[in-house]
Amino acid sequence: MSQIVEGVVQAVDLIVSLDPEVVEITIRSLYISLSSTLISVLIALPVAGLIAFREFPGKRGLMYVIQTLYSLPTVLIGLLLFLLISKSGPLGELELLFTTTGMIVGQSLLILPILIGLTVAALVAIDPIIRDTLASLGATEGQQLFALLREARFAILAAIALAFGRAISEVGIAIMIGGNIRGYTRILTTAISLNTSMGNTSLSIALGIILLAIALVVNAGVNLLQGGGRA
Amino acid sequence: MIRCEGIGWDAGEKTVLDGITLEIARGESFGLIGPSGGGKSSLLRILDLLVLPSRGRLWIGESEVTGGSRDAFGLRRRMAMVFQRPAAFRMDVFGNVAYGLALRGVPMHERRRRVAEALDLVGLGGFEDRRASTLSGGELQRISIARCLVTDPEVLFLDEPTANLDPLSTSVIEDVIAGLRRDQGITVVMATHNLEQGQRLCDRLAVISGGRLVQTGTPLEIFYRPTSFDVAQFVGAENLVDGVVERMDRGVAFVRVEGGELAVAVHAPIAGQVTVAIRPEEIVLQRGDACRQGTPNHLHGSVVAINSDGPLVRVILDCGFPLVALIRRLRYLELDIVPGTVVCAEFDPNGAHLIPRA
Repeated sequence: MSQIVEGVVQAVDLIVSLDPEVVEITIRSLYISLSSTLISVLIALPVAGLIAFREFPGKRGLMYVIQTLYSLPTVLIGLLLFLLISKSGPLGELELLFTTTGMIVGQSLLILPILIGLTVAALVAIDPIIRDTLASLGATEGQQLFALLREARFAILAAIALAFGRAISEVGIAIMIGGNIRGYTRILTTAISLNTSMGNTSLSIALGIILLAIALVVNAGVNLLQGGGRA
Repeated sequence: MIRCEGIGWDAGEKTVLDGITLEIARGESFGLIGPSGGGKSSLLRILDLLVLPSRGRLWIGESEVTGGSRDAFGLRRRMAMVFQRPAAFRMDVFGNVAYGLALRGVPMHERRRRVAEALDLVGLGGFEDRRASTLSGGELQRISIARCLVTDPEVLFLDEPTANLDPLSTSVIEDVIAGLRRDQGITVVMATHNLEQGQRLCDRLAVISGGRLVQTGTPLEIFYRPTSFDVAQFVGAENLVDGVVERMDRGVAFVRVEGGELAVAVHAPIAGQVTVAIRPEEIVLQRGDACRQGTPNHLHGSVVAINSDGPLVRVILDCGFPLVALIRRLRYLELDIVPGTVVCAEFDPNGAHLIPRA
């Protein structure tokens, strides 16, 4: 117990004093997870639009697959991606292994199913009359999709917050693809894991507190957006 | 303005519409009436190019709609549709009404002006900053109409625009629609199951039932000269009596029915099996002793039931066949009738109509 209290005290100290290593790791974590979230959102929104509003064979099956992938283990993505991008793998030439770019690709794969699945759910929940109204007023298909995404914005924001939370809190991909290289690919979660195994719990606790603080800020931001856009 | 030939539409295995052929002139106010589920909404959705018909040909203005979505998109921008259930975007009223203008790249100051005009027209001037979610159903429907009108459509489709709305919103909406026809020359196509509304607002009506167009004509023709049993029933010609034409005499057909002879004015010679359609309000009741038995259109019958219908009273008689009469309450009190009373039912030959029976 005293270890935890001691850890919290030291943690506060590390944070308040803006310890350079802590700051660096935090910024890297944010960079990687924000990038993967942004990339996934840009892919997921149009894809979700296609799935939600086009009829095609196997649509139901596709949704089952997407929903199953919500619980994709991070280590499994890490493993598959490792096999693809390692020196001898088919995509080895891209030299993504042990890079932040590789980690961004991995985290994007992790959260894409969540974003697609939840966005499809949000879109199909919209009153079909809204879509007819948009079309009737002369909106092109692209304009319709844009307007419908805006109609579903609260649910989609929640999905984005969830996806970001999953990205920033995962360890498996960061370890296997990033390699936890100090000053290069080390992020909050991998640093916590390493420092704990080295007995350096106060640093781990400090990093954990930062991780939670980020989650808090993200959720507060989403709540603010949702509350501000009451409609 | 709109012409369709043999339009049909299938939803999966089910044929929703079939063989719809009609023509709507520019500036005309055209009503689709008929029972719910008869295909009115589906036809409107096809005419507004929201769905493609499964069969048939469709012209909007001069262009035939062939199914290319790019083509349809340009035509769709010349039309607008108000749906039965108003659906507002999660925006303020201004954003909702201005949406069609935003799509068309209309500059902001112009949007403000046109939205204000349209809101005034539907009696919601100054509502720009209200959130759509705070409005009542009637207000939302008026917003939907304003949202269509700002885009200056050549054709406005309305699908049961006043179903389930409060009386104030209904009357505002009816006034707006009547005004469109009068002042702006917009072609209006509306579906309604409300006969009186169709009669008030439309130049011509088409009766759609079971996915087919059963009769087209002026409200007067539809109401007083239904060409089929279904239409007669739908437009409230409650008395449909089967009989056989016995002879014709100077524009009047004499029809033998069970319990008497009926004289009905006709516009063309007719023979054989017919159904006589008599609107209940055309029937005049007299005390039974006033009945000149054997005279055409004098039917002797006993009162079976009496139902109150607002300022009117609905009297159901047994004249050898059931006959419904709708009379004024004061006349009812004068007649002093109770179930079992024998009365004489009369009607003018011009107050009935013959439908040929196959």
